Amino acid sequence: MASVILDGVGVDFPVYTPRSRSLRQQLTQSLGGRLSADARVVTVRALDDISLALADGDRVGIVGANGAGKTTLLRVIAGVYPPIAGRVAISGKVAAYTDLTLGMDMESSGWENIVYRSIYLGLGFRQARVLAPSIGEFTELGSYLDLPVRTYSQGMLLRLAFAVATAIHPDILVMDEMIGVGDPHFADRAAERVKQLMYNSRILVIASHAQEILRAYCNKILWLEQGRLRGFGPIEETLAQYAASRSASIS
Amino acid sequence: MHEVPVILSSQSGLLAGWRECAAGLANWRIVHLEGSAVLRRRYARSMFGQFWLTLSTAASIVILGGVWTLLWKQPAREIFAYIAVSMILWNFMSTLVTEGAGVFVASAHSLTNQGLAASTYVYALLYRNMLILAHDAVVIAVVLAVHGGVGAGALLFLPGFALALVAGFCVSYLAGMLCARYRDMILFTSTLMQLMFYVTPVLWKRDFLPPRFEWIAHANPFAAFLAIMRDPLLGLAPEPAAWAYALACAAGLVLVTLLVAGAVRRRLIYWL
Repeated sequence: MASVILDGVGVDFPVYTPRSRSLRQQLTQSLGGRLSADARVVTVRALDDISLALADGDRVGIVGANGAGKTTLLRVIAGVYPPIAGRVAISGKVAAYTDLTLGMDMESSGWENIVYRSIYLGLGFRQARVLAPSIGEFTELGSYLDLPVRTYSQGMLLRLAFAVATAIHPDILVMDEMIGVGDPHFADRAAERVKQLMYNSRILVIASHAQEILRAYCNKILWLEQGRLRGFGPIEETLAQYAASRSASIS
Repeated sequence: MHEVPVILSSQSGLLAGWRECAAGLANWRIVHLEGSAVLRRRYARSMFGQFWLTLSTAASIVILGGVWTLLWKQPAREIFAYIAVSMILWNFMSTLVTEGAGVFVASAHSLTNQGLAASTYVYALLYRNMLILAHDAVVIAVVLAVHGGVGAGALLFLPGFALALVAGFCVSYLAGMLCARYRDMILFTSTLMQLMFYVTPVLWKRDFLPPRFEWIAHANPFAAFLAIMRDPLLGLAPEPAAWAYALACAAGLVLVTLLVAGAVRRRLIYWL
């Protein structure tokens, strides 16, 4: 059983700069978190009073404008940001795919980097070495895997990172935008592998602007606006509300 | 993948600080990778690789020892042994402080993308400097062999070194936290360590000081840690005052570190 429980969670980012005082003017803005000027330090309220409970089988897509707090919410679930207010309780192993190349070493070979990445994702050295051949095979990078990854193209590096990320199945999967890889031949195999990854994790939380991706992988939508929870419910219903609000604000 | 990170727990106090420090050690695999990565990258395409560390240390000891022999007009063997051991151990200690100041700022990207205990990166720093020290130890071994070998008393180096590691972890952690919040402190720390070098008996001996200024060397905690590691290697009798002072410093640092870790570990990420 995996679960994610957020109870009245608030996150404030203090803006520490020698120029804090001059920033402290009331600003009207429709994007981003709300700036607060009452404290001694200017703060940006990234999340405000977020309460939600996720259980096994929940595949949640997070929608919202830029700066609505999507990535911050992902990072709260990943354990990066301890909330300033409220309570977070998470049970299960979490993997946060906000940077797929974290821990990679440009001077080391592809094989070595498969092991490094696996370690960062929580495997032991032995497990990582056992898993490496199948990951290496999936990348189709062949003898390139023996070369330092600095010789790789951007696309090749992404393939390598993708192959490791999708080889490990966490209880709770946290993703910022869909992970995907360029070239058409690889893309088909990649899609299959992503599907497996998503269905093997008990809880999926993904932030995305692409509705087709949300419809393909999610069953719930969480709608954030300026750090507040505007809606959380079944996918089509919430997407419709979100779309209606956006067209209202345009007209 | 990792279990619920300790930073999410809202407890504070000594126990929370202890759990934060223990959680970093539990990530020993990442400590190993992070700690060795810098050396791997730095020496990736050079022929001598990381042995440049040994070579450059050896060169500076040879030059310094040579000049000091001429200036002091004392037996070269003794001076070389003193300079080699002092310089290498001082570099170890001072790097922990200066690099500790920037440890969290330098790991900001990693910290914001993976909810690992911050102490993980301090252990990585400690580990990296132990690897560097291991390369420099070759120079110490050669110099001590020429000096006439070491006796069983040299084993006292080990508890001294262990105590320095504990204190080094604490100082790096505290300096890292302070500097993450107040960025001016990074620059202040490197200036401070340069000044400390002058007032610590590294390239000079305490008895060179006029008696009424000897307190400078006694009051300096770096001098105490240097003494408890250096004296056993040079075959000198342990100095109870230095041990007592180093033990007291280490105990105080551990206490402060646990309290600080418990109190501010949840704030760190917002300071980066």
